[in-house]
Amino acid sequence: MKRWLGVALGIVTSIGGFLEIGSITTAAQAGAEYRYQLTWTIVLGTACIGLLIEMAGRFAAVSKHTIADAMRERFGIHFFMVPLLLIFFISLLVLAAEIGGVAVAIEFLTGVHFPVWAIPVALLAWGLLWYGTFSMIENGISALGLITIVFVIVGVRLGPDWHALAARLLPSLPDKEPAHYWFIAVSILGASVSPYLFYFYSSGAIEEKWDETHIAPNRMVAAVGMGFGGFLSVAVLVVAALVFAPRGIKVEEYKQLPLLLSIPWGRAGFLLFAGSLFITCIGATAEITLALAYEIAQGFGWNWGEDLEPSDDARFSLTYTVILLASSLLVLTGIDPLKMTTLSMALTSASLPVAILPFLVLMNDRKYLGEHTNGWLGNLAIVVITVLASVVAIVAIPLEIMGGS
Amino acid sequence: MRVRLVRDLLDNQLIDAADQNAGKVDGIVLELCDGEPARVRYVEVGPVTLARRLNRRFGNWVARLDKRLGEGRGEPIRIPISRISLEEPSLRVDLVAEKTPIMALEQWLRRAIVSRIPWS
Amino acid sequence: MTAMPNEQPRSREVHVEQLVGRRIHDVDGRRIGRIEELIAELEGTDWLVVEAHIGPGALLERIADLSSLVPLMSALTKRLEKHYSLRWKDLDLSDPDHPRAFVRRSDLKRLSD
Repeated sequence: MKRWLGVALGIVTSIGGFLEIGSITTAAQAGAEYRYQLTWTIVLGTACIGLLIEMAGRFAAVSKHTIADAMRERFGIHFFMVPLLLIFFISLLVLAAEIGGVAVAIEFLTGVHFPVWAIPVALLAWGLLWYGTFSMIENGISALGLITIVFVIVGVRLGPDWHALAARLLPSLPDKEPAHYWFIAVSILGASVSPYLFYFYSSGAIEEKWDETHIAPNRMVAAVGMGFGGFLSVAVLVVAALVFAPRGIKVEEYKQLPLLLSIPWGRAGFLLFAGSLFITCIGATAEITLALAYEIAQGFGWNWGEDLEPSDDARFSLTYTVILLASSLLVLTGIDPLKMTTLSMALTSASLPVAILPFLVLMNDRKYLGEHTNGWLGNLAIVVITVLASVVAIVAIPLEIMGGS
Repeated sequence: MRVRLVRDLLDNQLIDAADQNAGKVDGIVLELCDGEPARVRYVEVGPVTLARRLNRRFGNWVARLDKRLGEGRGEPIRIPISRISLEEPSLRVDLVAEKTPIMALEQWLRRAIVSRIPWS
Repeated sequence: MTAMPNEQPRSREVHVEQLVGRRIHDVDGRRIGRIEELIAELEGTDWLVVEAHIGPGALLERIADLSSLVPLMSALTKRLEKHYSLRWKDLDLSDPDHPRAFVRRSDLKRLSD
């Protein structure tokens, strides 16, 4: 019974924690400019992250090592420094975008320009991490994230053409501005398949003391939780297709985002959007901050753990403190959060092969996984995802230049 | 019993007698004697050894910073190999890291910063 | 306890991480490959270093157990000819930055056989 409650909770937190400023912005842009055409990229991205998250969870449950920890052990410090530094600096940008997202949500509610809120938001996130526990952050904030179901309700009530939507679940070529189309496609993939999620998820499995009995529940959480999370992204796309596209509204400024819900639902919609943005972005802020601190602490063999008191893991706690401070300074500069988001999503896409390729080695290591190594299907999935990620990595930056906003 | 020094020892996690993380094996020291087989003598732990692996100059700079943490600092921290046992999932070391220089930086940060933050 | 700086080493020391990745040449000066792994045997409480594994095959052996990946990869690893085992006593470490073998490359044991 307890195991099934754990599965239910895991699914809830996966759904509630799925959306953040990257997935909201890229889905809104896709819907506004290409209606349902880019639905397939959300489906593809969700499938990829679901598979990789399942592997990260299984790896931690069986080996009692996290992904970052095992990467240092298996590849050595020189190979480990490459993904460490690359993913660290790109994720700092993503973190700045999320802090910007929270600040923007507060701007919507108060009218005070977002950079003013950078430090208070960082302090709030810091307080959650310093004084909170892992389950409080993972379960509490992510459960609140279920507010984003409002996108599904609005989407359904707007009466989409279900046949047209279903047809777009499969890849299609754009009928206009191909560079921009593929740029948004790449950004959606970057928003869905975020490397920090592997570090966060495998560390969470160790925080929650998973073992081999968690393998089956983990599979369910990854499939159902991520699946429904992706469904929420599709809902945002559908709402944008029905609200923005007919009015010719392109998502070029962050101040346009609340129109997604305020046009159909007025003031209530506006408040729901601001609330959704606040909760999802503060959740993502906590997750990314922890993920980066985990990566560093585990790579260097320090004590770490959100459930530990800061005095028991001072290096880990002060690492995430510095990370939050550095990212909030980026927001203080006043760089448009929308631009920060699209840039960080493109860079994330470009870094994917480096983040994913180690899975091919680790998920087949019998010393770590015993009999729970990948089957041929799992390995094929990693190879396909890596090839896809490599193609995306090569085109991401040129597309950002050619087709970005 | 055969041990692969790079795969099974170098860069592997150390867990101490109090079940705390005691760092990674950042270096392994071999003793060479003429006419005798080489022996594994120590493992090295800590930022000085790690930094030197990446770049000698960087390592020397880290050593100078490390010296400020207290007496006897600024040098690699060595643990005799006899105190290491090969266990799954991580290597065990039969000492308590808190009582050794391994935790010097952690202890300094705890004293200088963490303890000054209210309700920590 | 931990070794203190005033404990005098009896003879020369060399670091494993200093050796790994170094190119090694044979007695005729011909390149063998890079040292990728060192094998020790436990004799009582002593860890005695007995072998060095050299070459890209040794790197692969250290990083990935590819034989469990798919049968194809197992066939591929067998084809990697550059995977040698050098006995420790045949290793000349008079200059650790430029290790040499006391034997010819052709006399080395191939681990891929």
